[in-house]
Amino acid sequence: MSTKIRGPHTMSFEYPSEIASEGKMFAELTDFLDSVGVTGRLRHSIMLCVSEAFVNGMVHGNRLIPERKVRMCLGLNENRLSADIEDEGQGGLGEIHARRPSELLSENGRGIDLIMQSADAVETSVTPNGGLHIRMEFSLQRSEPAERDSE
Amino acid sequence: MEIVKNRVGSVATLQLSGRLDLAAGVTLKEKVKEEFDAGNVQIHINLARVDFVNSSGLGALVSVMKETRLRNGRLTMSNLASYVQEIFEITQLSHIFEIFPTQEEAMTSYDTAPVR
Repeated sequence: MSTKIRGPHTMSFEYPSEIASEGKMFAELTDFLDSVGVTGRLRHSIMLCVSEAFVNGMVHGNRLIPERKVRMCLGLNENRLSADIEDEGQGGLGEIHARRPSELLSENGRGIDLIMQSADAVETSVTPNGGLHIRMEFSLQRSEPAERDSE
Repeated sequence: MEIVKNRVGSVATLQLSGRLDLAAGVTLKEKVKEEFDAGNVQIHINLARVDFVNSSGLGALVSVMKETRLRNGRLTMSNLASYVQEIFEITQLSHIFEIFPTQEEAMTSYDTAPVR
């Protein structure tokens, strides 16, 4: 079960590493985006990046061991929305730096590329316990193509 | 994710609704395997009601495509929403999947495709 720790413009959640947590994460992320009024392409980019980092932490970092937690922290200031995802695995940063581009018919390995394409800023670091911490930032003042605003 | 299965001629169609993510990808692969087990290797996936896809969902689609090819079958898709289409283009998967604007156009392509 996830736990809401703070609100309303900075919220943190913690999830066991099991597939069912993905749906809970989406529910809490969409609630947050609703509460701060983020819509359209920016909303989609945030959902994509957060889901990629979350699944990476849950599956590759924590190896789907439920006792290992994935933490999600969402924050909002005047101009930027931030999303921090942290796992309790080992060596994740090294894996990211050592990874090769995914082959076209590969079934995985596209997540980090999608994050890099969709977030305005990405930072990765190692937590004191050796887990991977990914911080993603999104400008709330993105200029979006007009024809796509209505999609 | 909801998956509604149907048949159009010799083609098994799967209409997906919701998010195509990690959990949905697992379900999708199970549903397609049921079709393979029933001897159906012509598979069409209609994504009209899919509003979100991430790399886990893409991985499931790639897996389905590879399994279909292994069985000398064919996989087509249709009705990609603009956001979903964009993800296919960023990842260049739009080059390897047979994607049609509508399910009807996809079905017509089965009628005219040479027997494999």
